[in-house]
Amino acid sequence: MNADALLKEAGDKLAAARTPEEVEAVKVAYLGRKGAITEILKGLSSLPIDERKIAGQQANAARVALEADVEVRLRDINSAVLAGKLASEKIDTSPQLAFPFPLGSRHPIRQTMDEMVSIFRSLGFVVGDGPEIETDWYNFEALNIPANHPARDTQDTFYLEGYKQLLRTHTSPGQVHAMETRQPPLKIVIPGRVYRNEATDATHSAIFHQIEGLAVDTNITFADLKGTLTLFIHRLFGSSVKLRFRPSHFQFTEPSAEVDIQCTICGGKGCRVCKNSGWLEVLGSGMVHPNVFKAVKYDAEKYTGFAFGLGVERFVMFMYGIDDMRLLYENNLQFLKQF
Amino acid sequence: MKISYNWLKEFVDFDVTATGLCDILLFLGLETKIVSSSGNWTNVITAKVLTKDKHPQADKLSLCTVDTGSTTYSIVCGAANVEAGQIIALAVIGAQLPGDFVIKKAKIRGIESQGMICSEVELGLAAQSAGIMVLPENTPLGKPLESVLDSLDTILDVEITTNRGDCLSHWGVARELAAKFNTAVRLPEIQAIPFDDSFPVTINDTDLCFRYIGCVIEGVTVKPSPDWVVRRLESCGIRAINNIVDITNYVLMELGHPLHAFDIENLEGKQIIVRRATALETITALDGKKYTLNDTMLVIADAVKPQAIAGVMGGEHSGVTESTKNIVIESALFAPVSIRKTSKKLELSTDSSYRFERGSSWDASERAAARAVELIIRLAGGTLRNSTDRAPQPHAPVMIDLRTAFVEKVLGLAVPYAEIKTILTHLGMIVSDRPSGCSVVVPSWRRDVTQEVDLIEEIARINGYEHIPQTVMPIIPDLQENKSRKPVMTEIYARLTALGFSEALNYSFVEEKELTLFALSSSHRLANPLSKEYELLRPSLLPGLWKNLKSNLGQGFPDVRLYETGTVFTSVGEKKRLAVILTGCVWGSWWQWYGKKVPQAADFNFLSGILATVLCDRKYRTVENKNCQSYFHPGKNARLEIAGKLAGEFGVLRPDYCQQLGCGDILYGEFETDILELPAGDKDKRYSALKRFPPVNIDLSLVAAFSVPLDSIVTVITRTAEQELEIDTQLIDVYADAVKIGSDKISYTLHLSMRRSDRTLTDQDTQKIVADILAALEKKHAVVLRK
Repeated sequence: MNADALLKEAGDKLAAARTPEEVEAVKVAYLGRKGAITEILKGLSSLPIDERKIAGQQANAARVALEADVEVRLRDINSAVLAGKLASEKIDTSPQLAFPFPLGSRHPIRQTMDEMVSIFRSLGFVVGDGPEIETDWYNFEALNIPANHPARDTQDTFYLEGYKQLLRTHTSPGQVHAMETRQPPLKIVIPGRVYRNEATDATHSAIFHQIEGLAVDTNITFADLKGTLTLFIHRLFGSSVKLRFRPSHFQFTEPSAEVDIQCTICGGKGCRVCKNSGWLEVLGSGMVHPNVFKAVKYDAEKYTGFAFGLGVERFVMFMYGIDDMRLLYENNLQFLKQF
Repeated sequence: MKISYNWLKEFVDFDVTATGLCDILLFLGLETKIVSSSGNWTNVITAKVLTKDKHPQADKLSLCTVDTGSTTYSIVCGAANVEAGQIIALAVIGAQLPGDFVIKKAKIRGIESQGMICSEVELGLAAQSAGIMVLPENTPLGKPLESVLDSLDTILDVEITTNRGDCLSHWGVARELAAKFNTAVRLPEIQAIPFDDSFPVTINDTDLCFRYIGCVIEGVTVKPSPDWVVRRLESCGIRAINNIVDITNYVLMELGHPLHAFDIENLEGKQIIVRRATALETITALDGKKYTLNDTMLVIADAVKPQAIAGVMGGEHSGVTESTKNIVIESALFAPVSIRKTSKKLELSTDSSYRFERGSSWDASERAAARAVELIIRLAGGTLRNSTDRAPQPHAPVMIDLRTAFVEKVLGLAVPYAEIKTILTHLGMIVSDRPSGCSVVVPSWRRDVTQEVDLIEEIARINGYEHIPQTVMPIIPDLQENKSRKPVMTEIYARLTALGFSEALNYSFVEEKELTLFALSSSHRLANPLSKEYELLRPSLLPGLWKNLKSNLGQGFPDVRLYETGTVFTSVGEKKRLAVILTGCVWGSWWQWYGKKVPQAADFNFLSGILATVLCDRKYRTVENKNCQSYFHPGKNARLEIAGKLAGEFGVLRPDYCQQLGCGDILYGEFETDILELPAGDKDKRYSALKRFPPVNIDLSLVAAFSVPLDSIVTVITRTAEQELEIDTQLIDVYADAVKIGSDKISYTLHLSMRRSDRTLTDQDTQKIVADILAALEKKHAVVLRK
């Protein structure tokens, strides 16, 4: 057969091939080392010159054409195979079948503290620290709470044996440490654990967490206090949450303000959590009392500042709707894994 | 403190409801709640029952016609006590009764009722009542019920912060309202006492008693107080006793100053001596209890013995009784700290001590004495016989200079001077203009106002915090902080979470037996613990996490992974620590359903791997631990060091602990966060050039003695590498067989990947490297190739 006839024959066989292997067999049969077209090309030298040229061209053209046809056929078959695969393969994508990587959790109290601290960081506050065992000076005296002041009644104190040291009842001593070691301008938050000698129940804990804040400079005003705490609450709960500042009393601030936010559970309509008032008391704050500045040898004429403190557990409880504080310290994985 | 809305209205004019008043007081700094109120209804009017007939359909119901003077209603009534001729409270159609109860037109057993005759229960005036409320015969008809009942009132509970002792009375609260409403307080006219110094009063301890007013009234008749006094006291939660005692309490609630009445006939020598008690002196107080005093406590004594614990409670012996005829009224000023100490020591807190602790005022002490004398003479008869006002020092009012500029500096709000002056004046201050502001004389009752900022608070408070603007300070990042403190722990927490650890938070308190279990001891004991469980401060995080592990296993979690960070209290002070505890399977329990792998129990190497991941950016070293904590398995633990400093220990807890909980190996590690946070030298971190030449891979099966740690074998191998050469090793098999390699031996198969950074390794190179490695291993650790 001449090359054209072979090409035609090969073309028919290619069309009949159903798998890449069958295509390959056709290719070998015509273009392989002993293939029919290869044989023609090999035999060219024995032909007379004038025939050799034509037969050569014919055979080469047949080879190129067949190679192209093989390619096309292969591609067609592969895409048909792929299409078949895609059409037939189907898995169950239910999340229950997902590979269960182990995942732990950060304690809700710590998550909340992290979030709060990062908000204050973004407002230019640095993070400070302080000891949990304190002296009377740092916990009370330097904060303008003299011995035998009725204000001490509200902070039942744990003392260490010998009554020389105590467990801090608030993070406010951190303010004193900060001011003793740094000069203004100063913007600092002090997150930490505090202790009150009161029995544990659904809403009280002998141990809880606070975040203390302090800003001191030559020009800090009550308006800055309002602005900063409003910004904080809005970052935490969204800017639609209403706040109110109302007069209160803390020995180490003057004027002092209690900050209430509109109840995040009922939106201010009144519910069990806000005791039907529509408001949640969340922060104590005020302008740093000149006596505190005196205690840390800051010039009370030159500097003003604001301070605030908040109880973290309270936030955690209404943020997650937790109705029993003891759950926070039980460390039950059923509970912890929810956060 | 409970106060009465009606009583308050006597002192100051205002036109707000009790609810509105609560809001106003809240924004003045006095948190106020309504305790109880009466008169919460609408459209209840007085009417007369004209006729009463039996309901044709029901035995127990009556048909009544009632008349309001202008309209006649027909009412079905179920009460047994309804009678024609009575004046009653009629709720007409549309009336609202307490508890959201609205009266509608209704047919009762087929007969229409045009309203309801109310009982006291339905009106919220009583908890129980026998039937309908019957009003006095002379009650006018057709009037709103609330206008004819004089007992209607709202009781408010006011929370007073410790600095505002001056608000502990109706007068005190009224002063606040007057300032807010820009009006004046109306005080009852009180005639001043003509002191003649004729009653013998001696103050021995002038440091504890600043003033003593004693007024002798002779010929009083002790009897029950009139209704209005009783009602007012009751509204404040005070039980009426007799007219004399009631008047002292009445004045207390009215003006805020505690008074005491003695029966002068029971005062030895008919005199008063204010002195410290002598040690072990005793007194039986009005509560019938006997108190033993000491020489720090102030008493009011007669010539012989104490007759009252000053400012706290009177004595039984000289108390006013029904047979008392002649009395002494005491109005004094005592040192707050002394009263507080005495009250604490005796565990006896009274309305009187509560107020004296918070400071009483010069002004009120005199005013209260005069008011009491006047009321006693009015309600109990008698004549003022002698009166003495003894004060070692005259009152020196506090004077403060206020700069208007400083008001703005603190508040961030420029309050006009005129406004400042008005506010302060309404608060009872005497204000004199000065070029930069004013000079202020503080009234004696405002003991909390001693400095300029105290005045600024008053201005802010009365003006209203809501009028202070909100500003935000410029944000200046602290560059120093960012440099020194990388959030190492934050990264560690995130990695622990990703590896399945949940964070626990335990109390810092532990009890002795929890420590003994782990041979730990605490150097910090509480003087006043809540209970025995909470008497020590934790020296380690282990007891808490152990408890959590136990309870979670008990809850049916077979695989527990917990971590905690917190303060522990050691003999060298507070330390911040991170601890991890775990037991259970590596992946096992999660994989069982997948059928791919037999659950594998977490062991030392698993914890070791956890730490390698968690501390991947810390340059740490694990070191053999010769003196480990005794709770660790001595053969299965290690020290973790960073920069040559001990960060902590980790390992397997002794098997007896696992047995206690019936679980597999328990892994534990506790580390100092300060050490974990040590700078890892990442400032010098440099990228190393990629090695582009292909590696030569070779597996070596080595036999070593058990005592040779794999770490030292690998160290020898990697150290064999010259400068341009790099050898990575990977453990691919561990094999032990007593028969084939010997009982004290172990075999490791290591996959070595070697390459040079400058050229491709030749076969010769490789042979030489392997020969060098083997020679070094044999020489150093007698490690040989496995045959």
